Amino acid sequence: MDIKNIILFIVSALNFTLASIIYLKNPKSGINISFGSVILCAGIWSLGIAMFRYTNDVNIALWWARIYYIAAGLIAFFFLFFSIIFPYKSFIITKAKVFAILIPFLLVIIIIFIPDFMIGEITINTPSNEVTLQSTYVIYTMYFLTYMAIGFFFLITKYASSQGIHRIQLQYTLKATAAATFFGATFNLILPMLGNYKLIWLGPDFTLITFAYMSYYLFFHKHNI
Amino acid sequence: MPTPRKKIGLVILGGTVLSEESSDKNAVITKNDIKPWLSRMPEINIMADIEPVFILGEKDKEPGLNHWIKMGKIIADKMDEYDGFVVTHHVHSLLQASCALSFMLGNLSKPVVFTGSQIPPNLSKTRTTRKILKKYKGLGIKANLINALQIAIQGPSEVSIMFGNKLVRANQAHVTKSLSLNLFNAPTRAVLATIDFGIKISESARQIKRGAFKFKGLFDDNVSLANFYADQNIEFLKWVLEKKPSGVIIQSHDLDTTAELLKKSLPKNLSTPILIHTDTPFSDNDNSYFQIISNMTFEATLLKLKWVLGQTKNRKQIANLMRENVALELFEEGE
Repeated sequence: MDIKNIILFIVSALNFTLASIIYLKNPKSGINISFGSVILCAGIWSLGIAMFRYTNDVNIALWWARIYYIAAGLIAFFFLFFSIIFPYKSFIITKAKVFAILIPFLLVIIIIFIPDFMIGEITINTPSNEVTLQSTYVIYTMYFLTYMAIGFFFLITKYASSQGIHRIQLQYTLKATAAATFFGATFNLILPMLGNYKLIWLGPDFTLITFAYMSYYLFFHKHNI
Repeated sequence: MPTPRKKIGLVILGGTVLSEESSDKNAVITKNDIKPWLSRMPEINIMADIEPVFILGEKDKEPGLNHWIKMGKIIADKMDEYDGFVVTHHVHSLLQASCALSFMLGNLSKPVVFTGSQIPPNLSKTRTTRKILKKYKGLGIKANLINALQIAIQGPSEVSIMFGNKLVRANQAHVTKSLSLNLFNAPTRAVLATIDFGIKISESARQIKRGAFKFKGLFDDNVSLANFYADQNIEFLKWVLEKKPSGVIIQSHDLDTTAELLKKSLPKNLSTPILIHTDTPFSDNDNSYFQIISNMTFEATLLKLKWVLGQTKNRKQIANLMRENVALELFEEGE
């Protein structure tokens, strides 16, 4: 197994650990559930890419590709939800608004599963397999970037008007997620759209920034001034 | 079917300064300031339906027992109408106010959360205060109020205090020594909730159902205080007793010396109840002259005695009530 896959497995394990910790810290809190889900999906995304790169079977590679694209789509979905409720609600959440957020994600799942609609030919290579992405991949890209942008908009807006403990919470969360999102989107969303599938192993590695910041915040920060 | 919005009573007794910028313009001075003040925090109206009740403004004098009894009556009258209550209060007497309320509201079944701003209304921007404000951003009420509201919506049914990232039981709280977002602290079991990510309610925030809600708003304010050091003489206490207080609390820094002094010097038939408050856990309470209190904060002891004296003047009943855990004010052993 090549070193890049080993790194991806380690990143995946660390994300699963952090997700469990966040969830178990407060299992009744929507904030912990949604952010824990973001981190869990980052772990699945990393694991999916590792397994996709590792396998020599085209059908198995196809399923892993679908898994990591769905996982990445779920990262955006849960992140948006998290940004609406953390550390307090940005607006009243109604069923209509929940459906409005859910429906684009469900459409994205459909386009992932339709054969050859988004995920085209799978090429088995050593050391890294590749996917030929169809033109409809732009729908997936727009979905992901739009949801993450709206999520960051909510967090930054709240940060601008926040004080005290909320300011500290938002500061850490923005630091933890911004860099990981930027580099993850660059290597795993934009470059593949431009035809470069060789660097998809890099994107998940930047979730270690999230891991480091959130671990420090949860275990070492005194949550005080 | 959509979940009905919670209705929260917001009782205002000062402590409303939003930020250090024009601190006297960012607060509730009169009743008419409430609406513009709330409109600067639109997040609050998203959380719940807020019904403000004005008792004191930012520039009014520090609240006292009369205001707290009025606050208690308002909360008692509206207990069935609201799902919870938030009280904003001047921070200097917040601890006493919240202790008083904890004794007034018997068998409380809804959260009552105290909070406030650490910024005074007439903040003078001296070099020192500018340095402090630069270092400690966020001493205004906004974050505290938002967190207090979240607790009032779904928190423990107790009188509590929300500052910084901690919710503490009011009648076990004390003021922290240094400037901090967490203005108040309490023994571990009295920390009812903490905030790191979301709000986590502690296991110790017990929801004990004891019976129907009862409002007991009678207090006797005629309680004298004395602070005894090792070489204190008894004349001062005798002078205090001549004023005929309903009760006396002595804060003792040397319990053995104080106890000996009182036993030697006080008449045996003294009718005034005397409490000695001490931080020493090793104390012998077995005497008829006075009662030693080592398992309550000083503020809780003071307000509890005033409340007990409002319920009865019988010395034995006073002693029994002071020993009884009326509103979870007594520390657990070892704390």
